[in-house]
Order: sequence, then structure tokens, then C-alpha cells
Amino acid sequence: MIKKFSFYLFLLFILFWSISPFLWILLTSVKPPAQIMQLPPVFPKFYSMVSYKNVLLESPFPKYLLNSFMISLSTVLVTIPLSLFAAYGISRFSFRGKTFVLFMIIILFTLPSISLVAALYKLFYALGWINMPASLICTYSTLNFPLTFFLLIKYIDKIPIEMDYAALLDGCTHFQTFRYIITPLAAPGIISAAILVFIFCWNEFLFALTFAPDESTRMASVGIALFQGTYEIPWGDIAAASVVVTVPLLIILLFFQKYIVQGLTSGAVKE
Amino acid sequence: MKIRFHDLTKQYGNTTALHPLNLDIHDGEFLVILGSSGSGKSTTLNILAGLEAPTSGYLFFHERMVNHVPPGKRDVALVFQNYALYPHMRVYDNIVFPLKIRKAGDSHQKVTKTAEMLGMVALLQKYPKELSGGERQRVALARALVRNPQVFLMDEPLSNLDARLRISARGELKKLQRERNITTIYVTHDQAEALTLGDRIAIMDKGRLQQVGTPNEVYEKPQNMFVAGFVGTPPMNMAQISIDNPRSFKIGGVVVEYPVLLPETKDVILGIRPEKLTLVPPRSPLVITGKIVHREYLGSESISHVEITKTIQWYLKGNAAEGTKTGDMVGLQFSPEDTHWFDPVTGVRIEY
Repeated sequence: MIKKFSFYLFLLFILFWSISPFLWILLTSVKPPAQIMQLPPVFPKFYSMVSYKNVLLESPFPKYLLNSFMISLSTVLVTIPLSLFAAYGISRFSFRGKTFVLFMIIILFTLPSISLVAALYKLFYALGWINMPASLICTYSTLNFPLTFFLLIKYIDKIPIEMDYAALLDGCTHFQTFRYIITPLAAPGIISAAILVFIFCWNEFLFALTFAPDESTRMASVGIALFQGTYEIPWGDIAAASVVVTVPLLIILLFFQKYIVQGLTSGAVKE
Repeated sequence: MKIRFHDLTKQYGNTTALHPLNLDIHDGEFLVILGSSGSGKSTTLNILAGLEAPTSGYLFFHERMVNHVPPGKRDVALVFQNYALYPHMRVYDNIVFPLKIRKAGDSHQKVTKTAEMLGMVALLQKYPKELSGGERQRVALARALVRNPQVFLMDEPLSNLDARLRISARGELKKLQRERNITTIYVTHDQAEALTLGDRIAIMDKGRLQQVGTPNEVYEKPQNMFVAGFVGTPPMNMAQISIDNPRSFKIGGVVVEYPVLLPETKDVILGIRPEKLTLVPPRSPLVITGKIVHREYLGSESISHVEITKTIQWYLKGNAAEGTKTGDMVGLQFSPEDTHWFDPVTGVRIEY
């Protein structure tokens, strides 16, 4: 009894620990501006939608959200096919230099991204890509490639080789095998990889700030940080923007939850 | 389709999976490749299918060398041990897949016909995971049959079925092959399957072809000790004997009078099938004496383990041992025409 009680107490603590910052933000976003900085903090007596109105209607924040969405989606569309091809090749074929290729990809994986900022900035500056989505899409795709690549290798490795053999004997070329058999069977893995990439891009700040500071291509994560008034920091607006930026991710996660769980728990390949 | 292996080898790095293989398979023949795991039988099948390339040597379909022809262009169908059905497709789509890829005409009609022939029309709209083992096996068969291949390859297709289903499926398979008259190569480790299904059996061990012949030849005249020990349940009784004079031999130190001519070598391996031994009272003339140490009752017959010496234990199969019990001393008698002789060094059969 005591054991059970302490267990639930522990759970409650963890729950509080992880949810309270979000609750704080949520509360802040609906407080009337006057109450935000009040100490000690109070639960608001009445709620105000002023911050949301500011963020969604009277600031360029929706544009930032659209930028974030487009850049994240483009990155997914670049990374996933590339890593799927690569994972299929590595999983199913042996060729000269295979170990070297894997080694290089692991190196890419372990490279701290801050070390790349200066070099990439110079490169994109020379290309004239600063403040263009292409610079971010390229950077994100490269940074995410190793993760999705290894995730998909693991997934494709779990598909029995007999599937490929059967398809080859049925008259498929390797590309047809890849298209009709491997890709559908790896679908749960592909979806979970895509979501991971999307979330990474959605969250990313460092490169977004460096390569696309201009309002036209600014991403939502940068947008929140640059919310600044002349005399004060608009905490209510920042909180509202933070909530708005979290909602699409929650929707995606809820919608694809089935696939993510499936992707993490099984190979989805029945004998 | 006539198939010929000409000095075909396969190596994986330093290990040799297949020593030079020479084998002719006739048109319309049902050939069973029999061997335990690691014998090279699956490698042989994969090379036939085009899934693996031989290291050296040639493979001919008719008179055409097909070493470099990809699997899809060989007109070969393979039924896998785990069926390898596409889990994301319905049964119908599984079967129609090879036709669709080859852009064959009236594919719907062909699928329906094949499904009717195999009595599985009711399954067409189901997914593989909704099927029982026997049904999956049928779908795999249908997918292979639907495009009317020139060569039919099977990799232990019945080994995942339960015992009763296996026997009926065996019969169906044989009937199907007879009707269609397709050259079939069937790989198995189950010698009962090999003996019942094969027109001929090719027995392999450690990457070497040991013997090719009809089930009868393989059983009655095993070419070496491996074949003798591998085919038949329980395996052939074998023991090294030494021949001192033309009228008797010594087995484990015990002298046995033997009235007919023995091989002219001094040391030789004697082999006798368990069902060819008859039981007589111990210490009679012309018999080998031993002690029953164990009996397996199988219903219609039983298998007795008879200890002749500490190191030589023979099997006795049939009803002959009825009325005896464990611990009894018995005599084992055999007639000279049922003996097999092998060279103790090379293991090769000695005919004399």
C-alpha cells in the first residue's frame, strides 16, 4: 500500500516536473498583460486573448509559421527519399568502400553543428543564399541524413531478404523491388523518420537565426526570440507564440501516434 | 527445361560452399536435392534461381549459358520455406504481382484459374496474416504457378506445416507436378519427402554431390557411407569388421561365421539396413549376438537398439523383436544379399 502510494507520488512529481513549464507558458499566454509580471504569480481571475490577438493578427508571426512549415516539409521531402535510397543500398548490397561510406556518415553524425556555422555562412553568402530557404533546407537535410539513414537501415534490415528474392524472381528490377516491396514494408519506419526530421527543423534555432534572419524567411523559432518591444519584453506575446508553435506538433504526433508506436515497437513484417 | 551444371563452384571468401558440381536435370523431372544444413543445397538452389552468382563453372538452361541472366529473366519460380508472401498485399495482389510486373495479358483470368485449381478462391481478398500455414503455402504455390514457369524451384516448402498437413500437401505437390510436367528442383533435409517426391534424388554433403539416383537406387545401393547413413530411418547399421579368413569375420572382437565370400580386403565396413535384420536365439551359428538396451514402440512396428559391443549399437526395425524385453540377449541374422560394404578409408561402396 505504502509502496503503491509512493509510486504514484513519484509519478505525480514527474508529471508536475515536465508539465509545469508548459502550464506556466499557457497561463502566461492567457493572463491579462498587467498580471504577467505580478509577484507572487497568481492564477488569473479572468482570461484575456489579447496576446493571441497580437501574435496571430497584428504581427508577422503567421508568416513565420508558414516559413517553418514549408522549410520543415521541404527538408523531409529531401531527406527521406535520399536516406531511403541510401539505406536500401547499404542494407541489401555489398560494394567496395561500403565501410568507408558508413564511417563518413557517422563522422557527419558526430560533428557539432556550431562548428559548421561559420563555414556554411561563408558558403551560402558566396552562393547568395542568405535569407533564402534553400540554405536552411540544405543544412537541415545534411544534418538529419545520418539519423534517418541509420533508422531506415535498421528498418530495412528487418525485412526478410526473401521478400527481395521473391520480387526479383517475380520479374522485378531492383528499383521495382524497392518501390513495390521495400518502401511499403518500411512505411512505418519512413513515417517515424519523417516526423523526427520535421520536429528537428521546427525546433531548430541556430542556423535559422544565422542564415535567414530576414522577416521574409524567418522561422517561427527565431520569430519568438525576436519578439521585442521597444521598452519591455512582451512576455504574453512570447508565451502565446510558444503555444501556437507547439500546437501543430501536437496535432502531428496525435495523428501519427499509431505509426510512431508501430515504428518503435515492431518490424511490421509478419512471417 | 533441361538443366546442366558444369563444374559449378561457389565460394564465400575462404569457405567453399560448393565444390565443382556436375549434374544434369532432365526435362520435366522432379529432382530432390537432399542434404542437411550447410550441405550446399540452398546455395545450389539460389544459383539456379539467379539470386547468387557462381564463383566458377557454368549453368545451362537447355543449351543456353545462364550464369549472368538475372532471376526475373530466367522464367524460374521459387517457393520459399517461409513463403515470402508480400504482407502488404491481399492474396489476389500477391498472385497477380508477377503477371503485372511482366505486363502479361488477361492476368485476372489466370489468377482466377490458378486459384480455382488450388481451391483457394475464398482466400483471394484476405491478407497473408489472416491465413493459416497451409493456406499461405497454397498462396505461395499459386504465385509461382500463375505465370507458368519453365522451372519450378522449392526450398523446403512443406517444412513449416504440421505433420498431417505435410503428408497431404506432399501428395498434391506430386500430382500437380505430374499434370504440368514442369521441371522441378526441390530442396529438403527430410529424407521421407525426398524418397516419396523425387523422380531422382541428389544427395549433398559439405558442398559435394554424394550420389544422384532414383529413390530406389539411393536406398538399395548407396554409393558411400554418408548416403547409407543419411537415407533411411533409422539409419543403416554399420560397423568396422576385420576379415581373418574367407569364412568368418570379427566384429568388435567377436568372431562370426559367415558362409559366403567376403570382400578381399582385410578391414572393411559392413552395413545392413535395420529392417533386413531378423531375430534369432543368441549364440546360434551365423549370427551376431547382442543385448537389447532400448526399445521404441511406434505402433505398427518398433525399433530396438541392440548393443553388440560397448561401441557398436545397431538398430533393429520391425515386429521381429516382439516378446523380447530390454536386457535380453538376442541374435541378429541377415542374408548375404542384404549386406553393403564400404571402404573404411574413403567410405566408398565396394562392389564385388
